[in-house]
Parts: sequence; structure tokens; C-alpha cells
Amino acid sequence: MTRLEVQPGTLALMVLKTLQTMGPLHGYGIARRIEQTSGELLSINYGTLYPALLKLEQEGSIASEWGVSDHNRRAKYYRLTRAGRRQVEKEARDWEQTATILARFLAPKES
Amino acid sequence: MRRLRALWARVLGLFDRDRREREFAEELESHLEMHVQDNVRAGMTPEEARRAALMKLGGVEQTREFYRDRRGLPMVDMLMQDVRLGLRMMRRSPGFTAVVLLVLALGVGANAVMFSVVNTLLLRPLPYPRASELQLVQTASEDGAPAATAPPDFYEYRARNRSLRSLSSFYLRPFDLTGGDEPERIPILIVSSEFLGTLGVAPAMGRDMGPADERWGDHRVVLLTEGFWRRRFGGDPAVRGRRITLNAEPYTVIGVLPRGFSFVGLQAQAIVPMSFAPGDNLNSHNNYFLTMVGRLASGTPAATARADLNRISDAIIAEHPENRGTHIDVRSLQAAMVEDVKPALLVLFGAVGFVLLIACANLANLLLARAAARRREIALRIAIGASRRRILAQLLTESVLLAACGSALALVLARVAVGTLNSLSRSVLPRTEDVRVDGAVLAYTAVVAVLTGLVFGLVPALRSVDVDLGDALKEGTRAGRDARGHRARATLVATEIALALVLLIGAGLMMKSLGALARIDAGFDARRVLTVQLSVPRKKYVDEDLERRFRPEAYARSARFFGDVIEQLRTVPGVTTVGAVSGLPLMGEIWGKNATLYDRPLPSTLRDLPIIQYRVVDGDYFQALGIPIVSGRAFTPADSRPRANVAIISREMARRHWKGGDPLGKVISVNPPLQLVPRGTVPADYKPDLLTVIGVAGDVRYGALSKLPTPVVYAPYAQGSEGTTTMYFVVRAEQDPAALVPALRARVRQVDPDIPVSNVQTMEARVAASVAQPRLQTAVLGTFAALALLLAAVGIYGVMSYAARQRTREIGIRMALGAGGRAILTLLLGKGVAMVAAGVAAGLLGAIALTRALRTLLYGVSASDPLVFAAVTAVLAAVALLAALVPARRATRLDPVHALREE
Repeated sequence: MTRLEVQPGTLALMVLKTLQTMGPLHGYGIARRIEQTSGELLSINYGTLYPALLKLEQEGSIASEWGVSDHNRRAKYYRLTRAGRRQVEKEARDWEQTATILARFLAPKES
Repeated sequence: MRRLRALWARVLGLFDRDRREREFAEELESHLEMHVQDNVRAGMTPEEARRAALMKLGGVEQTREFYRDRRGLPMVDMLMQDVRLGLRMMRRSPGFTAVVLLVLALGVGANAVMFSVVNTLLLRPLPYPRASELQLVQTASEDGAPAATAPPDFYEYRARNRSLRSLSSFYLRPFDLTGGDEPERIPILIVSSEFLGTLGVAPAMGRDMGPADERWGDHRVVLLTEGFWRRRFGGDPAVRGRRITLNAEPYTVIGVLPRGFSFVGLQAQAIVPMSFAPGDNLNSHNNYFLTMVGRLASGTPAATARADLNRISDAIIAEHPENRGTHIDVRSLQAAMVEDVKPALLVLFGAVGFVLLIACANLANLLLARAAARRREIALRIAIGASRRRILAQLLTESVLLAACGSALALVLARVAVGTLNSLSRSVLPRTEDVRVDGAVLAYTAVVAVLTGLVFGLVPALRSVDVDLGDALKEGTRAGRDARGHRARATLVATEIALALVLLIGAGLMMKSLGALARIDAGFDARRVLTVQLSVPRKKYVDEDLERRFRPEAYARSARFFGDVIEQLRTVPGVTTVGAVSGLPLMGEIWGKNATLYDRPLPSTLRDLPIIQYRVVDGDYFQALGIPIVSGRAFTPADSRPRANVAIISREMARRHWKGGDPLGKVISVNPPLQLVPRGTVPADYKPDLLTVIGVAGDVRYGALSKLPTPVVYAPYAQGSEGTTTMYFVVRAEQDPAALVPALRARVRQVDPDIPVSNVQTMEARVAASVAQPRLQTAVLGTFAALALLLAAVGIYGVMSYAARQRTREIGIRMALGAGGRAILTLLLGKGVAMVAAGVAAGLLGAIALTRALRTLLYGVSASDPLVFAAVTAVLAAVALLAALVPARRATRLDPVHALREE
């Protein structure tokens, strides 16, 4: 079975949602978490994650600071800001709606 | 809101780049380490683990590049980075940079100078409010030649027009200023009272003139220019109300004009109101000497004013038939001021553009050669992931950066050059005092800089990124051996040669034209001749009452004065001959009159009378200037008396009106026959003077060197009823005439100490001044052409030596196999010859098409003069081949062993 590429625009929401459920996390952790959550169905180039993180930070949805990882290694941790929390809820709602609508189109027609 | 916030964050991202870069590197490193550790834990070897982690990341360099793009504003970011890189490149090869900057400074600098002239003269409005409304209004004859307007006609136009906010008229006259330490002759503008108002200028001090100042008797008021006020009155703040003596009459100063006031380049020192005594003959329908300047009512097009004024003109013609055949021409004042110099300016502006194009081609060549050297570097960067567009942008930034630095230098050069040009062209161009390097020039130069950078950078940059990675990397340090590279360079050089040839041919034509002007026989001998101007005040020297009655005795006093001066000057040691004339050769056709030839049926209208140039002469004018008397005799002292009624005509007049017949003894007049003289303008007992032709003089060019001689009638000063108060004295000396000036001044002072001696100039200086404009044009175009030739030669030399260096190994092999120097030379030179031939062919075609633009500037040479074309082509081809030969010869002297070891 082939693994799916990340749909454009969805990566940001995945990052936000991950941070919402997991709390502050470093880039590598976020990437692994997204893959795990997708049930290994998604393949992402970890490299593409960092510009996405930077964009979210520039927009004020997340903030970052250096911390120490579980294995006593320096790593940059990202966390959701208040604005980010609001955004995650709004975007999640939007996506659910979109998904519902799409599902109706794709569902087999009842005769 | 979020967008805005992000944008701000990205702007901040432009700064403190190094810290951010380090931070991200650290973040990536920690990412990789965690990943590697996870992989090891999953059972991979450390090497496998690292490779897998890198693959999963998608490349460190790419990730960084993506991250960077998001961090700042990629455009700005890239630009700044490229600028830094460019500056580093410039520092790294100072020789290359110096050559490029020098070429640019010359090319762009010359453009900046020409643009500042064009901007001032053709683009920038005249220094008056709403200057586009100002129109030059002129009476024009049927053939469109502008002529002057008579005062009564002007009054009609002024009163009856409905399309102008105001209409004013002016004429320039010299006035004698006396009563101070030194009598002085100053040019004064005589204007109708609304003159300053029309221009929209108010006096800086005192009051403007008003309609009341035009009334005869109240008219003796004067407005001083700022410069004159400072020079003659020491900037006296209480100058208002002071009396000054002009032409022996007291004038009251009513004000001072604003600083920097100037009008159509006239060097007037003051303005006085135009006013005529009742019955003054000047104020009549057949005395044309006014020029009009008007301001259009706002929103009115010039065409409306033209129609409006011609309606009035037609009405005047109905009453005064002597105006028949004239109409009114309305032209923008600015356009009218520059129409003489406009064609030359545009040609020179075009030429300087050519120089810049050649410079660009040269620089493109230099960059092409360098691009070949940088092939490996660029291929490497592409291989590790930089996009071609990115590299293209970087290369273009480099060239624009070079252009910008060169242009900055160019502006420094331009500032210096504009100063020099101003002093050179003062007598040639109007408004030169206004030419400067200003904001418009800066903006123009900036645009030129960017365009230049793109033009000379584009081809090399495109070729640089068009590389086959495998080839370029494999080749090692060897620069491309490809034929396409050579073809691009050869095409550029051929283009340079073509452009240079066009400029050189243009310059050659101008030089030949200047030579033709210099060889013109103007009809006189200028060597060792001094000319001075003497003017007598009418009040003291002319009996105006007798003059109104057309009596020759009106000028008895001035005739005696001029005669006495001639007697005095003759006795100055070193003087051989002295004469005087009312208008010198080359001064312009200034005194035209209608002639009547009484040996044939008289025409029925004024318009059918031939027009001649009238000159009154005194002393030995013809002898002093070396004008031959080709038949008959010269004037003798016996002719210098009222009603001597003799005339000498010019050969052109004889040829035109007597067609090989003998004009001697024929009766002519320089006035219309009585029945054609408008009634009321002359007294009841008036009869035109009838003159007998006693001699024919050689032709003299009175108008200009380039103007063919026109018919002239000469008469002795003392005989006629129409005199003049200004005479030009012609003094022929045994040696250097300039040494005589103090003695001449002293002798004039002996005759009348109040008469100023002005316009002291050798005749040779007058001749030189009359060709000052073509000389300047030729000098400037010649400079541009020389620059073009130099640049083209450098271009050929560069390409040839580059080609020779590239083929060093090949040459070595050929020589090792026994090829002689001659064969090698032929091999190398072949390409050079082809290049030159292609360039010359294109250049000749271009020149045939473009030199037509020079036609109006050329005298005595056709715009496609085959001799000039051939000679210039030969010179260019010789220089070009020499530039190709030097590097080719050097290659033949290679040591084959050395050559083979190369690379």
C-alpha cells in the first residue's frame, strides 16, 4: 500500500492539533507524532515541517523556546499560544465541515 | 491580522541573519541526532541510521534553503545576499572591476551629461509660472520664415485678440549709459507694459511698469536686472527713484528684476517701456522690428490663438496692403527657443546612447569571458541544489551592482563635465546657465544604470546557467571550449564595430562639413583686421525733424563724426586702411529693403520688388576688408555728401538682375517707387532717392558662413536720408591688430569722449565665433566617436586574446606538428577578420540609414558622402585588425613545449 503525501494546507492543522494534545514538543517529536497518529499512512519529508513551524510561529499561533529533551539533549520546543488554541478549534471545525460535505459527494448514491 | 503579523516577523527575519542561521542549524542537528538515536535503537548501524535520517529529512541544504525562504522575504533576502556576494566578487578581482567601472563611468557619464543638457533645453519648462501657456507670436511671410511685427499692428493684436490672457512685444537695443565713471553701452529690452505680467514675473523690488508708462513723455522709467543693479549701483537698496542717463535722456529707476531673470537668452541689462513720439516713423505699418510673446488664456489651445490672431491680421491686411502675404504664427516659446539646437542635440543624444551600447557590449564580453571561468563554480552550485533561476538572479544582481557603482562614478564625472560644457557652449546654446545635474538627471542615471546592468549582464548570465553539469564538472578548470561561447562574443564585438562605425561616419561627415565651412570663401580677407562698434546717441547726432522729412542732412552730424573717426584712426601707426559699414559680414542679414530697378517696367505691388541687403559704408570699407571691386569703381571721398546718389551693387545682384548685362550706369533705388509708397507715411514732397550704379563688388556672405551671398546694395553713409547711428569700423593693420586697441580707443575719445567703443573683436574671431556651434557639435560627436572606436578596439583585443589563450594547447600541437607562425596567424586572424567584416557591413548599412538625421547639420557634404564612408571604414578596419593582430601574433611566438604543458 502506498503512503499518502500530505495534502497542502493540512500540515499546519496537524501540527497545531498535535501540540494541543501533546503539549510542548520539539520538531522531531511533532514529525514522529504526526506519522504515528496517521497510522503510518502519511509520509512526510521531515524537512518540510520546519518552514511550516516557522510560518505558524510568525503568525503567532505557536511559540518556541529552547529546552532539554528526555535524553538530556538541547532541543527547541514548540507550544500553542492562546491565538493558536483559538485557531486550532476554528480550523478543526472547518475541516470537519469540509470532510462531511466531501463524504456526501463520495458516498454511494442511494437509489 | 495574522498575515500582517507574519509579514512583520519576516521583515525582522531579514536582520540578524547569522544568529538565526546558527540557531536553525542547531535545531536541525538536534533533530538529526534524535532521529539517528531512534534508528539505532531500532537496530540500524550508526551509518545506516544517519543516512536514513538524512533521507527522511530530505536533505539538509534543501531544508535550510526552504527555511530561509520562509524566514525572511526571499526576494529582499536574496537581493541582499546577492549584493553582498557581488561586492565580494568585485573586491576579489580588482582589475576586472576597475576596467568595468571605468568603461561604465565614461559611457554612463557621457549619457548623464547629454541628458542634463537635453533635460534643461527640451524637457524642463522655462522658468516662468505655467510656462506651457507662453507662446512666441510672430508675423511670418508666405514661405513661413518668421519676420518681425510693426508697432501699429502689435497694438491691434493686443487690443483685439480674444484668445490670449495677455500679449506683449519686445525688441532689444543698445543704449549708452553715461553720467557714471565710464560711459558704457548696455543692451536693453524695450517692451510693451504688460511684458513682465505676461511672463508671470514680478519685480523683486519697486513696481512693475503699467500702461501709463507707455505714454510718450512718461516713458522714461527703467527696471534694472539684479546683476546690473549690483554691478553698477552696488546693490543700493534705495535705488528706486534714482535717475540714470540713457542715450542722453534721464530715466527714473522704478524697480529691480528678480535675481536670475532672463528672457530667451537675451543678455538685456534692463527693461524700459516701449513708447513712440507722435508721428515717429518707427511707429508705422512698414517698420517691422517687434517680436511678440503671449500667454494663452487657460485651456485655450495655440491653434485657437493662431486662428484668432490671423483673423485680426486679415483685417489689417485689408486696410494696409503692405502686409499682404504675411500671416501670424503661434508657437510654444520653449520650442521656438531651442529649435536651432534641437536637431543637433537629438543627434548627440542618440550618439551618446550608441557609446553606451558599445560599452554594454564590451562589458557583456568581459562577463562572458569571466562566466566561462566561473562555469565550474556555477555547475557546482546547481548540482548541490541551487535553482538556475536563483543563480540567474544572482548574476544579474552582480552586473546591476557593477552598473550602479559605475553610474555613481559617472555622476561625479558628469558634474565636472557639465561645468566645462557650460563654459564651452555659452555662446551656442540658450539657457546653458540652467544646465545642471539635478534630480531628473539622477533619476535618469539610476534607470540607465539598472538597464545597463541588465543589458550587459543578461546574455552572459543566461549562458552561465545553461550548462551541462556533467561536462562542466568533469572538465576541471578548463573554461568552455564551445563554439557557441565564441560566437556570442564575436557577435557582440561585431555589434560594437557596427555601432562605432556609425558614430565615426557621423563624426567624419561633421568634420568634413566643418572643413567645408572653414574653406568657404566668405568674400573678404579676415587677416589682421580689427572691428569695433561705435554708436552715437540720436539726440545729439541726428536731426530728427529733418529725418522725418527724409532729408539726408538729418545725418550730417553723425556723418561728420564717423568721418572724423576714420581720419583719426588712419593716422594710428600700424594701421593701413580704415573703413566702416552698417553691418559686418556674418552678422546676419539685418537690413533688408525693397529695391526698385528703374531700367525696366515697375511692378504693380510691393511684393514684386526684389529684396536686397542694404549697407551704408564709409572710408575705404572694401579695401579694408579686401572685398574686390570687380567692375566700375569704389566710392571716393567725393561721394560722401548728401545726394551724391551713387551705389555699388554686389556681383550676386548683378548676376540676378542683369544676367550678364552691364549694370554700370543703371538707375536703382532702395525704396519702393513713389506710387507704391503707402500714402500718409511720407511727407507730400517725398521722392525716393535714385542711385546710379557705379561699381560691382565681390560677393560677401553677410548672413552666415553657410548662407549663400544675397544681393547687396552699398551706398556712402553721408548721401542717404536713411542713416543709422551704429557703424562697425574695419581697421586693417600691418601686424597683430589686437595691439592697436588702446590707441584706437584714445583716438575715438579725442573725437567724442562720450562715445563708448564696444564689440572690439578681430575679424578672425568673428569668423571663428560664427562656426562655434558646428565646431562644438563636431567636437562632441568626435569625442563620442573616438570613445566608441577605443571601446570597440578594446573589445576586439579582448576577444582575440581570449580566443588565442583558449586555443593555446591546440596551437602548441599544431606547432609541434610543424605548422609555421604564418599558418597559426592565419588561423587566429581568420576569425578576427570575419568579425570585423561582419561589423563593418552592418555598420555601413546602419550609417546609410542613420546619417540622414545629420542632414540639417551638414554643410557642403552629402549625408552619404562616399569619400567619408570609405575613409572612415578604412580607419576603423585598420584599427580593428590591428587590435586583432596583436594577440594573434603573440600566440605565434608561443613555445610549443610550454603550450602543450598548459592545463
